Amino acid sequence: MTGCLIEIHDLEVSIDGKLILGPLDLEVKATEYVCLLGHSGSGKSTLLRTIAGLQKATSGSIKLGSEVVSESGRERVAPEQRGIGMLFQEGALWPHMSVEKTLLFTLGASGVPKAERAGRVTELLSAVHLPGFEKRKPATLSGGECQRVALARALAPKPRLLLLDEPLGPLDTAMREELCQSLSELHEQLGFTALHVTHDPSEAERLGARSLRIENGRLLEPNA
Amino acid sequence: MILALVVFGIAGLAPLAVMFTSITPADLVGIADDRTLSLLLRTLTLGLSVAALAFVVGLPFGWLVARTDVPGASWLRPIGLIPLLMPSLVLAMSWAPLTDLRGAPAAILFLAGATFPLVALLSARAFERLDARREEAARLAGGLPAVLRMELPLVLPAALVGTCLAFAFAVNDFAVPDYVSSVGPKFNVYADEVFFNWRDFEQPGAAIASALPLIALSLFALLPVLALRRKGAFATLDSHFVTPARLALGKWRLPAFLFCFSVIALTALVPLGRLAWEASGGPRVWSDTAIAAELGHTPPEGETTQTSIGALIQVLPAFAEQQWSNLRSAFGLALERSRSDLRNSLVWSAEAALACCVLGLLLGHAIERARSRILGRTLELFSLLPLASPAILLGIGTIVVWNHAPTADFYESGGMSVLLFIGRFATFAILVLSGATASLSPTLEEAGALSGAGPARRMFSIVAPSLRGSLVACFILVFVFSMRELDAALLVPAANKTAILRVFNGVHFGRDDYVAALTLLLVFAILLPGLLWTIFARKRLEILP
Repeated sequence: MTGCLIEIHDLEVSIDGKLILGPLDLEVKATEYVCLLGHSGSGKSTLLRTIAGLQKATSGSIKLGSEVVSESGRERVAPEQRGIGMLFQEGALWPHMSVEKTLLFTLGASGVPKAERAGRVTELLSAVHLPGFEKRKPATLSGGECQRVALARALAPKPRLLLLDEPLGPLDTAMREELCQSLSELHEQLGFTALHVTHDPSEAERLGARSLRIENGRLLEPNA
Repeated sequence: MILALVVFGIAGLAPLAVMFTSITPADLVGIADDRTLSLLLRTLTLGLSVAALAFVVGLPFGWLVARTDVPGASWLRPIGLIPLLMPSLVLAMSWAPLTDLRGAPAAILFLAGATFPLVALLSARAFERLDARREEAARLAGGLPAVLRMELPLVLPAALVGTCLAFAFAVNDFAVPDYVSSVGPKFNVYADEVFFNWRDFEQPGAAIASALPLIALSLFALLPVLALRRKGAFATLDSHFVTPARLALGKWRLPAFLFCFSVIALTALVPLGRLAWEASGGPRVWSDTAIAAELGHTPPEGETTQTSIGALIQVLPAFAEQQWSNLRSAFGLALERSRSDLRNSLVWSAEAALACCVLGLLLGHAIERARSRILGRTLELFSLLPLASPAILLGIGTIVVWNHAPTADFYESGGMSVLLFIGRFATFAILVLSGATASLSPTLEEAGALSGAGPARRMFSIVAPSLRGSLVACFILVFVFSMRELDAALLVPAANKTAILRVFNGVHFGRDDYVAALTLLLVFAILLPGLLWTIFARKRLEILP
């Protein structure tokens, strides 16, 4: 299949000898927005973490673009070199850094030249509708604001793939609507590929995304 | 609660208060003389050097054993605590014969070896409490270097708390500088000055006056500990905490293991090995002369023999047997001569630890739950004073308070030793249990109050069972420190009948196999409660909140 950003074949993940995920095959086209639906413990988050390289695969292969990043239990490419941004549940912001420092740190760590960083921070904050939040610390932000900062952080290195691990879970209905809207807009503007984990089917509808269901570590509708 | 305050006041504060009131203006004049200032500078240099070394070794050690896949992390971590639990004198007395290092460098290295676990322990705990998702976000941005850059500022407060404690321990230590002075050039520090002012002139005023700068130095180091503790330096947990996985070191696994192993070898394994060697009469049994005699080659008088490897192999079976026999008799002698001292140490330390658990629970809870914030902070500050003062000073204060005709019987009894240990170490219990109380939701007690439970019932039926892990940790902490307490016990006659005092006297007056065997027995007795807890409870001690 051409134009695929993610190609996963026969992927299996075992933790402490117990099969948590797979065998699983999945293909996602470049710029596509895919929602992974499933109950708690179904293996959704494990799949995201395995694609990101944060969880070691036991067998099978993962190809991102033209590069095989994981094959037969061997991690060929380190997580930071896979071109992936990740939005964690509850943001996982660094408590000791202001919004600006968080973004500057991420830009610096991902090799963006120093001269460009300040401009990129402004751009990113404007993209997530948080201009003027530069000096704020995570403790002073609402849940929705935290997720927006985390989204800006995930997008900072201009990733080719954005992984979203139940990003709307802890938010109230109004904030969910707002963030869904922002995600749709940003996806349209920036054209990244997204794999979004949720247990709420209405989120997939609002985002206009292709939906896949995962249960007991297996995809129920492969490549639908 | 009032009873707890009274006991702490009598044991920990009264001896210091009495000392403060005995200062005369004439005593204060001596503080600013050149000799005192040079001693102060020397003590400050010692404290800062020890703290810096403890930080440089402890922080990476803590990170490696707590958060990485360094081989053997599960056993490197507990063994890394042994140097802190052993009396610092043991490290000095076992290393001194192995090296020519003397004077200030020796004191700095021995004390850094004994205190680095403070930094390692606190750093390890802080590293473990970083949320996995925060770490993964940094890892995706820039790999291991980004993870370390993000985590260091979060862990630094905890590591600095350990460093401040290492500083306070070092500037107040009397035994190591005293021992270093006994085997090489004199290395006077401030704690010596306090001791000699008392011993030579019996002037409590002069002793306390000379200790004032040391108390100021210790408070200078300990006040940041309280401030950092308030800022949550010990914990970065939140309600949705996800435990981080161990970081893969890749090609750095072996060098990392070698670093950790070298640290514990130098600070725990070599000292214990050296003591075992001494207890078995190793230096005597394996002398060139003894080997030559065993092989029947008696060299002409005045000539020395060179022992070959072949000769060593030849005498190995006979000498090993001889060493085994020496070892058994050394331990037998140690038990025979010092049985009552060992029993005193064990019983008095256990009694002090038990009392400190009750005191710590009541006063620690009061500090955290006091209606007035100022009252809580004041109580906390006062509870810090015995730790900030040199142990020698507490010992002198105890003599001044209790060495009178009406209290003579108590002064001579084991109860005096128990009270001395309570005064010296209740601070640890109070700080540990106030931290533990802070991590306990007040709603538990509020629910108890609404259901009609009174304060005592809430304390012993709700708070105490919830803090069981911290109470056990407190008991072990106070027990360990009481077992190894030397500085204050040196002065109070009743506390002279302990195993560590026997060892101290032994190393100064005719060190032999028996002293090494007794030291090993003492170290074993110190480590025993922690070992038993680790083996049977299979649960980590909750020293930190």
